[in-house]
Amino acid sequence: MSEAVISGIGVVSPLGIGATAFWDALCSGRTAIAEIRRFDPGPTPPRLAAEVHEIPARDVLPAPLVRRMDRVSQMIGVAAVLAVRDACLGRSAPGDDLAVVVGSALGNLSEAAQFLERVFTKGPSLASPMLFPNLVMNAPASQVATALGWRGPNLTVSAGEISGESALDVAIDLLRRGRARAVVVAAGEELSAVVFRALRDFRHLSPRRRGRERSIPFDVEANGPVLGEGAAAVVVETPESATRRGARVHATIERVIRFQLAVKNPHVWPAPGAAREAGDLPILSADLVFSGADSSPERDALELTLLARMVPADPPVYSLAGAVGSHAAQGLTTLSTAALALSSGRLPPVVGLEQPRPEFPFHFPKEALSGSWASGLVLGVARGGAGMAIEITREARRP
Amino acid sequence: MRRVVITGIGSWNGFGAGVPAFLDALRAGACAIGPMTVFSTEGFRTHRAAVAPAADVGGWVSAPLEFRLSRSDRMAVAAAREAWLASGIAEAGLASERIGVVMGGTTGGMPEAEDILRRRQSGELERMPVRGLVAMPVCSTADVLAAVFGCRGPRFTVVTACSSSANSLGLAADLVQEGRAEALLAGGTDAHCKMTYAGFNALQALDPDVCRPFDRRRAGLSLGEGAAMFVLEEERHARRRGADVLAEFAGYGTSADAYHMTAPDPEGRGAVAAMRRALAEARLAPEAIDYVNAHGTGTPQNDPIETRAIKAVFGAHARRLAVSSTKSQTGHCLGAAGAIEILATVLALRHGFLPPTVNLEEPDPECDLDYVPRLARARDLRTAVSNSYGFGGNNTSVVLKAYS
Repeated sequence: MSEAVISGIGVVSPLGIGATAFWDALCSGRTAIAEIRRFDPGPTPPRLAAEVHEIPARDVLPAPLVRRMDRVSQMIGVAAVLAVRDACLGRSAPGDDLAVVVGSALGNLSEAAQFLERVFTKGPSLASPMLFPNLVMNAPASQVATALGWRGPNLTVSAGEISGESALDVAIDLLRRGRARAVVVAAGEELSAVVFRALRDFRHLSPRRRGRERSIPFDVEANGPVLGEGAAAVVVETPESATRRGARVHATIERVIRFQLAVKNPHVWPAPGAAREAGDLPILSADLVFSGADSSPERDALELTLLARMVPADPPVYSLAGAVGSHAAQGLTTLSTAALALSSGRLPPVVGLEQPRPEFPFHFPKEALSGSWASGLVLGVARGGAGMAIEITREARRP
Repeated sequence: MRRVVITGIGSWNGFGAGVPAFLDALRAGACAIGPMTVFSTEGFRTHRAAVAPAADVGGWVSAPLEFRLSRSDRMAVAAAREAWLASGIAEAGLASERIGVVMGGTTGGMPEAEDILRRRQSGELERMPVRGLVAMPVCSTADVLAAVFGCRGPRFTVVTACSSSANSLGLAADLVQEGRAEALLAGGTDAHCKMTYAGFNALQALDPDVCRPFDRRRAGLSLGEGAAMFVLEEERHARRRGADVLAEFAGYGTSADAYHMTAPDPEGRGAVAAMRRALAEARLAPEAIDYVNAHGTGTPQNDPIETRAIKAVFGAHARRLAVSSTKSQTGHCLGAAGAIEILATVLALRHGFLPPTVNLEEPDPECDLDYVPRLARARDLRTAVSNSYGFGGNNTSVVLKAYS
């Protein structure tokens, strides 16, 4: 039984704003990874990231809101409103049964660091009352509700690297429970100096201690992720609701599956052995697979080991990380990519990939592919071993 | 239809460790708000807060993991341990993937991260150390609980500011009702951090003295910290295994003001919608409710708006039911507040008393309901509502019923 349909997509990405611009750039094989411009990354690598240089917040969101919105809220807000417009669900709709669910792993840490720096150096009496409301992680969700006049449930969900997927899961539960007839689900993160510097200090980012700095998911030479930023949003509603209002359907969400790998340390990714030994993984089928692999050897190996167990056939496997870098709440950007691939019959190339890991029986497309694919699988795993798989199909099912 | 019951509770807050200490304090009308001792308050508008004791979780957590836990994690593990043991869920023979973890919080391991940031900015640290930052994301407490208690079911963290853990419990109950889990560890945790303290201070939202909800002299909230944890369970499952059922989680309603980031809708429309949605889900008429545990922050804005919302929902019955703010006792525990207040409400139902609004001495004419001032009262209760509201215009109400 299908869970819900996707009737709207909105994307704010380093490759472009809006689903069409994002998709065209992705299919052309471009990468947005370049030297960081927003802050000084320091004299030695890492110095790269995929940045969103202009957020068209003033074109999309009400001006009085934009003045007070931080960068994370602007990216999530623009993505959400674009998705709602795409779904033809505007401000005119009565908002009591329309919900907002946002996925975020870290939130607005750049302004949190700025706020704290002022407290540390100038004392608490000079802390900014204007900045503080933006520091709560649910600020973007509230801004979206205010922009749209949506007064249904308003939730922000955090689950590390599967924050976007978890937000979608919560949204579908809201539909099932009759708490909303449609939900805009959005997820995103910003590139902040404070997170970049922490991950650099941890030696988590490419190039770690070897090779060139680059994002090459699935490659034998992968040596750490390159950070990205951005947001994506989807409008989900029940198949009945979409049919009733004659909405165009991008894709049907067939199942959202959660699984948990055995871990001793909840703060890191489990080793691939945990995926090999897991006794109760779901067996899934899909014509295309969209992985959260981020060009870190540990996460690439974990996701591919999982896929080898969960997907018996050997479908093309794709990752966004070479094109737009990676951030913790990228799951909905990946889901949007999957929906666009099925509806357009095109699969973008895995940018940057040169030597695919030979031990996995998958096809990693170095060139864009065309085909008529009916189903896609979005996979994500978080530190702590929580995983999610989302099965989608191209055809809108009739209820 | 699957019903959801509470079979385990655990508490950690300004009144100390454990449910018995919290119950005694609620009945005695005690106030945990005292000197702020977690960090220096020089330059702040107030020097008060409700401070929880440090939680020792040794024995339940491996030494390497304990080394990395945040203050917030530790309080949650301690409260979860109490709830877990009291529920007997570990002996129920449930598959681990049928037990989920849903948490609410706001700042996670921010207190530890603040210290690192300060030392890094001052040049005292050359690099940011992994320890102290791995536990920074607010979702990491749920990951820790899942690992410690072996829960492999659905897991996520809800962040809706001061209503976070009321929503975590509501969404956890949804998972049980939808059959996606048989039981869950759910609740909230939040520890004092400078960012929040300085932020509320900058907004002039802190009472320089102690908070006085519904009092005409109220001047803001008093911050607190703590954790409250629950084992939520499917009712037939709990009954079959002979669990001691503490209360029924009967209804959950949530709404957005869609109005302003910090100011509540002056008409309280979102608060009204949340209460009505929760009552409808519990299939209870407003007249069937005996007690409302109010959000009751003690800020000039919240208390009259919440009072008006209660009157709008309950009509003439608003004059008969009892309303109180246990934030006057625990302080405002932010992401943990919803869970702590739902716990206070469960204890009120279970032990037959109305928790008081302490420090309420001069009623505000705009706040003219029975707020149970100063002293607890013995009262048999069948049903109660707990309200939680948050920055950004989040409104959440939960309906609890005595179990029979």
